[in-house]
Amino acid sequence: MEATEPPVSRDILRKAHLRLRQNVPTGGIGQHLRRRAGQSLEFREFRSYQMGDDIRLVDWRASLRTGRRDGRLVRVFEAEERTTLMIVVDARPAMRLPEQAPKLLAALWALRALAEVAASSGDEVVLGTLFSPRDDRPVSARGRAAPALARQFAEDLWSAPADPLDSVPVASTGGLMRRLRPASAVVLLSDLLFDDPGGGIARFMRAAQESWRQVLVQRLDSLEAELALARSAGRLRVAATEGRQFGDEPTEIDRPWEDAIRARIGAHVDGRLAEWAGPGLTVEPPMIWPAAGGLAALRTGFAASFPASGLLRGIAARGGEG
Amino acid sequence: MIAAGLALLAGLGVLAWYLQRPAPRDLRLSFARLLPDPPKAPRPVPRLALALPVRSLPFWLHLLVVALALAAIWADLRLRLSTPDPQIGLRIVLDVSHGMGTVADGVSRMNLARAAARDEAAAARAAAGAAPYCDEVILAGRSLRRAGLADLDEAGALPEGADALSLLEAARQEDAGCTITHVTVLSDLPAPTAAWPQDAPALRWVQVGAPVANVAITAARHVPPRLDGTPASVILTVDAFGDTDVPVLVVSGPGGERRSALEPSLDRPGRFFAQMVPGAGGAHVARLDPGGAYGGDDRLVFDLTAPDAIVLDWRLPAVPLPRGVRQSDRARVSVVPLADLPSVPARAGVLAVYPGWAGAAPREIGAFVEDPSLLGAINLDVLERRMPASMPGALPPGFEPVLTDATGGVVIARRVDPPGLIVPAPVRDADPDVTALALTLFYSALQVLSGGDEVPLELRWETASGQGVGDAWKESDTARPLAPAPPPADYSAPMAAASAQPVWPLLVLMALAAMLAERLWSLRRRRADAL
Repeated sequence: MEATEPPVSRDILRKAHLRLRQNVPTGGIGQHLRRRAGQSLEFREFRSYQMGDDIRLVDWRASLRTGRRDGRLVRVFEAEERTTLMIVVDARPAMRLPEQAPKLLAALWALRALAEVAASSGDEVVLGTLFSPRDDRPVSARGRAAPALARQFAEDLWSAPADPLDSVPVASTGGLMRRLRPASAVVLLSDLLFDDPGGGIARFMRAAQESWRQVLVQRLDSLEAELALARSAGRLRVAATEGRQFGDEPTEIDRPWEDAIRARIGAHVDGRLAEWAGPGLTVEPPMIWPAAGGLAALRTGFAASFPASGLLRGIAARGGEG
Repeated sequence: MIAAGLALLAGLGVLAWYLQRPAPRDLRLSFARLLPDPPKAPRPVPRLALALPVRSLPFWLHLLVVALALAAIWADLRLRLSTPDPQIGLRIVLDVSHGMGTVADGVSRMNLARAAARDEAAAARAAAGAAPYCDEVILAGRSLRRAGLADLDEAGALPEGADALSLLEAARQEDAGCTITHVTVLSDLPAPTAAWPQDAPALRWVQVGAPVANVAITAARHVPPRLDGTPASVILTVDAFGDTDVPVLVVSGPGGERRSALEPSLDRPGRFFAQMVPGAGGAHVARLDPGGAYGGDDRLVFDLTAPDAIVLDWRLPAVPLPRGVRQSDRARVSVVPLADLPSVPARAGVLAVYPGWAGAAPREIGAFVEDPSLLGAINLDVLERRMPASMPGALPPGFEPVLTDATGGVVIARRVDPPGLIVPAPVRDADPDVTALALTLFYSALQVLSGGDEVPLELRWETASGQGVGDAWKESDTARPLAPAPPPADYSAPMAAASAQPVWPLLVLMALAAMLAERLWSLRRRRADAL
């Protein structure tokens, strides 16, 4: 079994269809119902017959009930259209932590699961990374080719040698920006703990919401699990991370220090989300890491929570549970 | 003392190891970039923590391993595994060889030994008191048989000779039901000087039987006939032990009965030899008249089946048949010219000769094999001055060179199986050296092939009633001085060591178990940390 294969039943994923915001523009005829008239089997409303309407759409029973001779009503259906799903994964070296249950692995599980859902809807899938150490050009595929592309993308990313933890990650959003489609949804899978000194990520996130696009942010939260690990270690030396050095002096974990950490991280995440705030931004409830049990517990938790998660339910046409 | 000191040091070492403050653990945190600065320690943290590691399971396990290992190395502890309570286990080894039937002053040595055995058992039982007691008897001749004290009356001397090694082997037998702490050997043999193991049960060797004089026929050997016509004979050895008169040796056989004169040995007092030429082959009986105190060695029966003359297939017309040799076409050894070698049966021994001395000339000796039976009587310096010519042609199959000249020519060759020799033919030459060399070499070769060594005979000793006694000569020396009785066995201190098992393997096992437990605990802890 591949490491990045999502621990979710494939049947559940195949039954799901993308359900993007109903008022975002789309790319033409597809499987997504939109708040506009179009061709589908989903009834939308009646309206008066106008010249040029297809005579086969006239609902004769409803017309007779109006009591007027010229009161012919036609049935209007929802438009069923295609769209594009962009999935962006935060690929910083810190995302490979905690070592027993890396956040990047859970992000790749979600990526492949969403790609599977998109494939069953025939939508286009664009896959990209933030802070990619190497090739930051997004890749895309449509329909049945999407799961294979997602598998290759995830395996390559997972097996690629990681940059040193103490290196400062640099965001690259140019490639992602160029692949934004008018009718699209963007999913960001990240712990949101990165820095955005040039504001490039914020610009991308705001651009992703323009033109009625939808942005879903899935936060991966391993704070409490890592704090528990630190508590069990007693005295510890924290490794240099993303340019921050701690020296050889050991650190004693205590309750005030933990509270300070929680406050700082909470403020950081809130600030980050505030920078991205816009009409198309949806922040899903964070995916909380199990305090113990390592990778097995993470796998079990993901299998149990993902089908009912806001992320899947938010974009799947028939809900995560199918 | 040294062990205690080392144990103390090791214990302190383990304690100091656990008093060390554990080194800070290196940890990688994904949110480390956002960490506040760690609080500064007000003063340097001491390397040693004051808190005792009483709650640390590995500490106690390590301490246990050290203590057990030291105990296993230095402690000379013994653990009584099979006999937790003091007890006495007596083993009586009773010599039942034929010599124990020797009677002196109306009492046999066997009776003396039986009485001593009962006394020993009674003393041991009395010493044991209420403590557990057991005993066993091993009847030791050439073979061993376990018995009980109640079987002593039926135990008699067996018609076989035995020695002290058999008795020692009986004394070291594995325990069978009775855990042995004391061993008493009762025999007419003196205690051997063999070292008795330290960890074995206490050994007490009691010699019984006062010395009595004895004469015995102890050996006989057959002397084959000689080339010079000396007939085959039998040499009998008679040994006298103690102060006794020289007996008369009477030999009876198919040729009748005759008295043989006993000649004293030149190098051993008390030993006599009698040489007799048997009139014919067959069973012979030699007996002493009168016999000695021990009757098992007075009659010796032997069979004479060896030929009384040397028989050869002699095909050398130019060489006269030696006086002691009889011609037969079916002899096991043929003496032939080298040219006739192919006509000799494949399985027969052969002495082949070739005319080599005609070309005798000074030549160096080449490679040769040292063979005393063949070349021992040859002066090689003289041979180099009168070196015979090498044999013509190639060596026959199966023959290997014994002596060659400097040019590699083979002068003497030998075949191992069937035995064979090739030598220059004997000649009588004007040069006396050539004659001497030729005759010496030829007759040495003939003696080697005709097999003239003494051979032992199949001997069988019998009592006057005709009962066979195996190895009776081992029992002949009944005149050994009686050793003073050993001190009584010390039954007051039961030999705990003899029945105890050393405890160090158990300690090592426990140390290994503690080590394994510590490793498993650490593994479990590490896995828990990983999760």
